[in-house]
Amino acid sequence: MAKRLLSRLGQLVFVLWLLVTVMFFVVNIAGDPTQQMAMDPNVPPEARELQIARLGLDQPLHIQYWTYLTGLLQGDMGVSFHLYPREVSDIIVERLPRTFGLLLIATVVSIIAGFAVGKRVAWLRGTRREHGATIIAVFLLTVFPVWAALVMIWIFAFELDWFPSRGFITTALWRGGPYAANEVFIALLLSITALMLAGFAVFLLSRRFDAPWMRTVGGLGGLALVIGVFLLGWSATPMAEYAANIAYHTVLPTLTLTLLSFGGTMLLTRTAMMETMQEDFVLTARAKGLSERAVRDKHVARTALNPVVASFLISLVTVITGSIVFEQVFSWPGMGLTLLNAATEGDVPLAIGGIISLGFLFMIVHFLLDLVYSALDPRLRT
Amino acid sequence: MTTSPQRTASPAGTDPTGSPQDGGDPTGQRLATGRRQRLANRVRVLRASFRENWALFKRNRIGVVGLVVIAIFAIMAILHPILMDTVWEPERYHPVVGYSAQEVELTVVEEIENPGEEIDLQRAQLRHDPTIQEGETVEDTVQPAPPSLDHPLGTDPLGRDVLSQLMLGAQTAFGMGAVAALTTVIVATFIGSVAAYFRGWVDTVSMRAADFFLLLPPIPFLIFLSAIYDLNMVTLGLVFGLVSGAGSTAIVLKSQALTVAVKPFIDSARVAGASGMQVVLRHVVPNVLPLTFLYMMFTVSGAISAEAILSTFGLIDLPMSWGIMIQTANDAGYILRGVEYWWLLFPAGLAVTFLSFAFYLFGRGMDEVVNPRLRQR
Repeated sequence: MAKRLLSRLGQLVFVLWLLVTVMFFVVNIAGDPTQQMAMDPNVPPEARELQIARLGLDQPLHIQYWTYLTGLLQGDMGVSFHLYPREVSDIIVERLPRTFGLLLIATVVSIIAGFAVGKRVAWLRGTRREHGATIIAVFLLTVFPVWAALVMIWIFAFELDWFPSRGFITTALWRGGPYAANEVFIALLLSITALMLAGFAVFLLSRRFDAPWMRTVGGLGGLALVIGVFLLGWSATPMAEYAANIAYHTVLPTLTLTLLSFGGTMLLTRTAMMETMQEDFVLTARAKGLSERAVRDKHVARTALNPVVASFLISLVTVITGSIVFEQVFSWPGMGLTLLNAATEGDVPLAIGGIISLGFLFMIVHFLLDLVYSALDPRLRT
Repeated sequence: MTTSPQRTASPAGTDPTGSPQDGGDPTGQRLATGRRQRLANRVRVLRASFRENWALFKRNRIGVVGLVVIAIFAIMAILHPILMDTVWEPERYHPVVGYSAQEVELTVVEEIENPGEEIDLQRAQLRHDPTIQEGETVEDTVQPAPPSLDHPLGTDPLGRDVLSQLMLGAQTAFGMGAVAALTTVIVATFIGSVAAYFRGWVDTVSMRAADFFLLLPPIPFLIFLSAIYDLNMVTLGLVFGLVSGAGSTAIVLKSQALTVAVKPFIDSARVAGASGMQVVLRHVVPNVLPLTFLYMMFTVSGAISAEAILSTFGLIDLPMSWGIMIQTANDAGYILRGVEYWWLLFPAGLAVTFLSFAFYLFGRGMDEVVNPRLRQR
């Protein structure tokens, strides 16, 4: 298994290099990216020359590429044109964790919910409830994300007034406050990751009970305990008010993203379940006299989990796209919004940095999925 | 495709029990040789397999619903230039430069001296105008006008007809979808078949390339491209089709082509002296094509959404699209007013959703025809 993962990691590094190379040439073949600056009256010609010298744009393309690649390995991606004196790497370090947090929560919640609903729906095949659930899921999968986000804002921010419609923090609260927004956000992200791991551990432990009712009680009780510890722990720290402020702004984008990626996972589970239900071992399980629930959960769903995890990468594309759209519509400054702004402003270094960092994020998730998959599929456990 | 073996095996004209409903059995042309006969054969087989598959497709109502919705949007797209030429005057109904504000007559009731107080916004619509006396009627224009007989879906904040925009948007969506679909089909079939048939380094290179395109979600890539290049409908479709065709679709098609490439008839063709490319084009490609068309539907579904997203953010060079309609309404602040301005909130957003929904359903319906494992026993 270690060997397989190592070779997988090698392949991913290769693909990442390919990504950097292709992106670099796609952009730089078009010519001098500082031409945009020449038209901006606020940028003096000396600044443009400084940029040209710094980026080495007066040199042949292959030398530029070499400079960029060696710079990248040292974490230097140049300076943003649009947010002028800031380093691209600095902007990425600030904003990538936010997008990562958005993706993490939305992915984990939607995969759990999507799998749980999908396996029940597949069992109801042919009924009206199955058709209804499938149509809703296809709607969520194909709904136009921009429009969905606007409708969510209209419902939750205007009609119900539960959440703010835009932004990452309430500036008035943070001005003069003792913390930087990112400091608090990273603490929040880490604690949420810990919460998720603890929840998963509780789930695994609760399955060791023999009696079904003990499993339910143990699982729910353990989950309540973990969440209680999480909330108590946060309310004891002085950051609590600030963390709550960030969480308050993050609920709506996360909820929208979760809803949209839920549809894809549910459909995937449904299809995988239906393919597995045709297998002979399901007939055997039934013939043994197992209850329908045991057949569903222990025989079909467990087998259907593998193709769901394997093709999850495809739905990750939906989530990444969704994160860009929702960051824009909710004015939530993560990497997606940064990439979009860089594209509109013609800010080449930031755009390359943005797409590479999104690719990097994608690669990490891909690798983690591979880890999960090798743990799930017994054929790979050697 | 699922054709009954007897029918494919017997050449036309020699089968005395030829099914009567086929009707195309040319008894008089029994002497016609070679090419024509083969062509007639092929048409007969195609028709028979089409009828069989159509019956399978029809059984699953989801696919039919998708097809009907696609047809409705296609009719809208085709009807637009006809309507513009005949019934709709360009000055009023042109989707981009037309202008037609609904005129209303208002009676001046009172002049508010101190507008700082609470004003009934439904009534107080006029700016201060010293030439107008109380009791007179004046004409005013309403710009996002509600639906009327003239404008079945009302007008947008700039006084343009929403239905006309919606129909032109359908044209844009279909154009973009067609370009993306064609590119995907050509690229994916070619890469998949060649990689499966030749194996070796061709396979390695194309599959690493596919990994790369998998790692490259099309929409972020298109946004990135728009930083440097001016995208229009055709380039957008080409890039989207390339990313999806050389990426995920190529991987699926390669695995399908692998099962074809080990069949005995491939060996027969090779023994008969066919060159590598001949085998790929005449024997491997036709056998993976049905699956390509299936994945093409999902590509079209994604392409329509991608076009709408990019045009919403103003990154494509297009006169009008559903994304631009949403952007116009949202910039003027009407989307967040909700159902009050429903003709600005729903048509464009639901059009994108329904059309990509329909292509997805159509693809699912075809899935059950192409993939027998999914059929309900």
